[in-house]
Amino acid sequence: MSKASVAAFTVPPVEKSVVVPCNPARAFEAFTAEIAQWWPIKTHSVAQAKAKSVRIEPAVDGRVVETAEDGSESEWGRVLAWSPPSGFSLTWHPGRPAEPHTVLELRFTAEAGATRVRLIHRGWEALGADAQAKRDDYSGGWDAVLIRHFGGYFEHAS
Amino acid sequence: MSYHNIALAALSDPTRREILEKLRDGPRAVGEIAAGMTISRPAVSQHLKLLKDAGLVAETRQGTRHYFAIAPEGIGALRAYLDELWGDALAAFARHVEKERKP
Repeated sequence: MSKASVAAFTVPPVEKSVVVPCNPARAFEAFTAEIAQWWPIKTHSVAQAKAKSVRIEPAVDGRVVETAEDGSESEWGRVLAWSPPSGFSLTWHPGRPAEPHTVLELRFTAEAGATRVRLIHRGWEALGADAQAKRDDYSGGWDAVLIRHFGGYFEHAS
Repeated sequence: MSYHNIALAALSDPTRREILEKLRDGPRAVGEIAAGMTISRPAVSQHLKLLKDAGLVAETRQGTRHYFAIAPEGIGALRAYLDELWGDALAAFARHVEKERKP
């Protein structure tokens, strides 16, 4: 088999960025305190169409919590670091138990009168070593991340 | 069910993930894949069919033997989808911030 095929199994960090027309403090506030106003909750959530809202509790160990229309809550992750306006990081495990989890990091940096928001989603390899994902013969990275994490998060009812 | 959901559903089963992992080092015949697994060979074949239908595995024939291999295109498409999800979320965030600049 070619190297390319094997390489397809390694999952590098997902990195995204967007520039928004405000200062970092405002961008941080909009991202966190106002997350319910912009997060695509009906599609990017555990309860999907029945999801109502999401909030981030603004402190270390604060929860990221989705609320469904019936009032039930679902934890997506926990705050690992909270440093407004420069950034924050979270554990990330929507629709799944807290372990294993990936790590999401957001950085807000001033750029030419605006703010660049960088999103880095990583932690795949670390998950491979997690006891739950551990298997003797192969890396559990793919398994733990794409399946337990994203699979559980985004899988719709067929 | 859209493509990525079929692929994610295919991967939601631990046995199928185990099969996929066995293909990491190269194409394998059904018998080789089934060796060491607790399920029967016909069951392995069923799982392989599902993985093939989901675009994650490709089947080739050499003489009378059938080999199964990871389909990089299918895996790549799935990764692109996951990548896109964050793009969607950030685009929604940018629209939210930009709204307040308008009168």
